[in-house]
Amino acid sequence: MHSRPRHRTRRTVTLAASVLLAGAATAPAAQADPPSGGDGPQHCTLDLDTGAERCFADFTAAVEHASGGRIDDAPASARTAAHDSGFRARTRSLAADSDRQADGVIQGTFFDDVDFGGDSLTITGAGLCEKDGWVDYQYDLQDAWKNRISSVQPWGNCWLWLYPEPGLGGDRDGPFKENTADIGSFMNDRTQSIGFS
Amino acid sequence: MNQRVKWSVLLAALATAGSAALAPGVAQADDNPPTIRELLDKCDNGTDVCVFHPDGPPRDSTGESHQVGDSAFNCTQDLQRSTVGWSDTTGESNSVGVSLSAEYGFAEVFKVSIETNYQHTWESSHTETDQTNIDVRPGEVGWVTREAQLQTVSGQYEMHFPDRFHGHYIWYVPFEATGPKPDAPSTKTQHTRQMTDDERSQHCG
Repeated sequence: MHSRPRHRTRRTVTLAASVLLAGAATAPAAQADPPSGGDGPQHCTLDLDTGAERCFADFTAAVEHASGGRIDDAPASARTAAHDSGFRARTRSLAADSDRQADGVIQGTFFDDVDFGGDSLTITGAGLCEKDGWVDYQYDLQDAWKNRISSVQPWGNCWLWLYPEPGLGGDRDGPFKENTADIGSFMNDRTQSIGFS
Repeated sequence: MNQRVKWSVLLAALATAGSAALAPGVAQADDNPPTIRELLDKCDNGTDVCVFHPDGPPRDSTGESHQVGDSAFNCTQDLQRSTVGWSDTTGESNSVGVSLSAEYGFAEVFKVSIETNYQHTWESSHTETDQTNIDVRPGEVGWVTREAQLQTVSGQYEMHFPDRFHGHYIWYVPFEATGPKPDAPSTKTQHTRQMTDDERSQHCG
């Protein structure tokens, strides 16, 4: 049995597709980079504050972007790193500097397939979830991500709530408090909006 | 792995109760930023939160083929069946060069994450012991090679500090580890070839 959080939404971000449908420019437009070529999975980041979306060929690059793009050179593999005396430790903190609001806190990552496989969408927001019983942030998935999510990872102290309709409407599944490699049949490939509490 | 991070990083402030956003911080360049190892040593040892987020399913691969056991030299005029006994250990490697079998907080977090997410345990080391028969023709040498199946898991540690650590409340630390794939059979192959003159004189008298 799931408890229902109080929905005191602080932030609502609607992406370009929804804005066009609604005819109201109440949210920043998405600025998605065209997906790069290749058959591999796409790893995209979305900034809830700006609506800006960017996609990358690998997850590390996506997280690098989400965390402010401050990563040094990365090992191609653990084996490579172990044998590369020049391997430079890659660490970074999230940027929440007042001059760089685009660098938010990662609040959740959502995957197309179970076991965190396939395409991913990493969402950043202005801060950590506060654990005060309220939905702190919410997001309506753009068309490209509707009805696809199969595994999720909560970040930034957030719990994740999945809904089959925009605006946190319809059924609800959650909270997902930990990395969940398979969200189960109830909401698999049904999510259209997400609450972060 | 001791090289210091050269990039300065920006401040992430913990949201305070009642505040919708981060308390804006002042970017502070850290002239002495921590290494990945220093950060990971803080996991569950000075952090409020330390979570490992895998960035995909485990990736399977095959280890390098290598000989196991001794070579069998047939110095007779008849076909000989030799039994080669061998024991071979497959270890792990990771991006910080510290064994995950040790009792580090980050290692425990990693292993629990693997168990929770993929329903199998992380093995830092696996030893297989067996005997393999080889039919070695007269004047030939036979040997056995083994290729272990490996799995690689990569992802990010998300670490929250109660106080600024090197100027920041939140750190993300990339990590990748490769180890033996649990319950996966290895590939054993028998090989033979003609002995060299040196081998014949050394092993056949």
